[in-house]
Amino acid sequence: MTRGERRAAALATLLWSVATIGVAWHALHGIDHAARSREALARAHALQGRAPSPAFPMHLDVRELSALQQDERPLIVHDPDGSELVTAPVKDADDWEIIGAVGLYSRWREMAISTALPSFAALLVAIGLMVGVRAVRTVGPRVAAVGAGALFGAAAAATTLQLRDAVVALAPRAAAPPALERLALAPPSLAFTGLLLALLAVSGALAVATIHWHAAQAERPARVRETLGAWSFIAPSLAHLLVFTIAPVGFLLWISVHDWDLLSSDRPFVGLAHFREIAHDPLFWRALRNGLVYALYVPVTMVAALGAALVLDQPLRGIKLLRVVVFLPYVASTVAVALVWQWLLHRDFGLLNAALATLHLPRVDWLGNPATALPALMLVSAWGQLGYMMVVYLAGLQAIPQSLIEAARLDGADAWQRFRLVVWPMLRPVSTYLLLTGIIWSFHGFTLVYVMTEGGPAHATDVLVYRIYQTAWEFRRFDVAAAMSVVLCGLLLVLTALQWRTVKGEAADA
Amino acid sequence: MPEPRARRALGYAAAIGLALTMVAPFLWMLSTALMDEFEVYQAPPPLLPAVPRFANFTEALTALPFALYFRNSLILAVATVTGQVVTAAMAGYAFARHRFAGRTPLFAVYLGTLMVPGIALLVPRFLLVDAMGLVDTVAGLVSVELVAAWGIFLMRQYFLSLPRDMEDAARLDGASEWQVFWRIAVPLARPALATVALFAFIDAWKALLWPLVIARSPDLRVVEAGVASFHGMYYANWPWQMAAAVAALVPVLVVFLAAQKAFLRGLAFGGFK
Repeated sequence: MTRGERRAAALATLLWSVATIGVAWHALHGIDHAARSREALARAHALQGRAPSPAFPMHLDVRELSALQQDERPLIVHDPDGSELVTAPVKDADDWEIIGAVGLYSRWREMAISTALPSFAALLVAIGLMVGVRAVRTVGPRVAAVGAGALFGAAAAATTLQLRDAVVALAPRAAAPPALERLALAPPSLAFTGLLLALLAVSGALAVATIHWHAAQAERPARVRETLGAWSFIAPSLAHLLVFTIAPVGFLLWISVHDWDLLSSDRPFVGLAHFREIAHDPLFWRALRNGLVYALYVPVTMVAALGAALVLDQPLRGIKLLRVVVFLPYVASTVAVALVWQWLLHRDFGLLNAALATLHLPRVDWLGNPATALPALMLVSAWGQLGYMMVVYLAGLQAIPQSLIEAARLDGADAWQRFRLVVWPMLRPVSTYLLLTGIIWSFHGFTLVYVMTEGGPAHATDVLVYRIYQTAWEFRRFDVAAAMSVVLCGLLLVLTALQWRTVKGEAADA
Repeated sequence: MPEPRARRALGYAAAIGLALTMVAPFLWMLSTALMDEFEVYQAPPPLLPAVPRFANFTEALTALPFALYFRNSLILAVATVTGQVVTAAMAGYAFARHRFAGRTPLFAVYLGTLMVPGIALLVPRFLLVDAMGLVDTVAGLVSVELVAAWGIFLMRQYFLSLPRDMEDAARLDGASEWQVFWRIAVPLARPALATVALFAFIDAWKALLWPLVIARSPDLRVVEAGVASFHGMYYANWPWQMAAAVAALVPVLVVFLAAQKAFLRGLAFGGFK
């Protein structure tokens, strides 16, 4: 490793550590003030009317003391030896006159220092690199170091700026007495700060790993070239997956244990409160049960699809056209399908009830009756999915070697025996796969419910997706909707894990 | 031989009956779309319109700004198809052809994303896009489906099934990695790319939930959302509703019928979809 390279690596590490320390410092400064002012207010409130005259902190200078006696908001004041104090006014029993103040010392510096400890370590490493201590000579070529340095620099600049704004908004320094800061009660977002710190940590770790790897591969430039090339091919999709799939998973878990109110930027941690709320919500259980009942259309449709596949497996002229026709509902626009079925199932003028009437059967209010609404949706779903399942079964049937069936025939097996003993066992994996995939997809079904029943009548067709949609976008309870999503996710993960075990054969060569 | 002939006739009857069941709702949709507004309110209902009324289509499609909705759906579909095809080809190629550092863990990450049901990510994705200020914008509408992990797997499998000789020859001739990919690999992978494109198109055209939550203004509605709200507004006018439904169906059916071979290939790969 040349001197220049070492210096570049050192510079990158230095930048990164300084950035991280700065972020932690600024963030905790703001967060601590806000938290402390809340605590001071709470204590002041508890004292109010009970304390005859709580003392003002007397060691402050006169200007600050007079501000304390007048201002009804929490304040940051600096005592003569430089410590910061967050105060909240205590009023008399009539809530009229300020008679004292509660003051709490801030400890954000200590908190910031402890948070920034890893960065201090990195700082030491950087210094060690610069002076050339052998033990900390992490080998790393110029390119990686400079690239990492640029990355850190940009990330650090962005985060520090962002956080400085947040802290300035929190405590406007332009207030007349320079030592006095008026506190707004909104803290900078703890989650956002945490995210930035995590980002810095991850980028730092990645850069260190890159430097190590690059050094280890120094003998094999071809591999370095190939890796860089491959990663650049993968970067676009990886970036999208990180932002729109991987980050949302963490975010989902985070929302589900915090309050998420659109009006307030305050998002306190509430533990499992939202999960308790949905556990006590009969509508949630209703939706879950409806979803499980609704999923029953899958095995029913599979039986029909297997029958259809057997019918369409015959060597008839024009059979290909018929296969395409059977498949149409699967690709058709779901809203259009929902509309035509709503029309077919119409109580007074629907074709289905007209057919019942000609058979002298009573009319059924298919979508208006809680007993028939869910079965009606299941019927539509079955019609929509039949083609897909049929095609998969058809592929399964055509993969069965004819010789096996011929052998069974020569052994004297009749058609039913040939199906039961030869065909069906060969179709078992396909069936398991279809069953699990179908059930997973049945939990995604939203359009039919949204267009045909809106979850009604009397929540008879309320399914989880629809509840999540309503909870979030109609009742604006994103946090509760997130908790429901976590439950749904858990349920589907189990099913997916099962599904993958069945397609392991396919995935094994992956 | 009377027996096989009878069987053949029975087979035909079953197959045609099945096809009729599947296609009947579409025919009924079309028939109703051509009826008079009050003609449908008869018992028993007429199966065919007395006089086909084609004006239903123009009336229904101008009652709401459907031209705008079709434009939005088209933008969504084109962006989704482009994004998914490009990223699937690039990432699939890299996973299939390159042996690079970090490949195994990265592949595991991609596999892992397939396990997460998209429906559960609706809330955090929305709040994330909201935080980016992209709610009620075209960018927000198209953002979430630009990459599909299953398409990447399909492309990877397809590239693995192709011989590498031509690529190696091109490399010996001094072609760059990008040239090898673009000039040699992509043209060979056209059938699989068509499959990815077709599924992306159909999924994008049928999508309702995300477009519904991301579009606040009616101007950003896609066709599916437009037809759904049309249904709420003209609840009693079934011929208009059916006309709008037919219009929503046509593009996706045309694309499907034009490219059904690619579709069946995708289903054969169903293991990951």
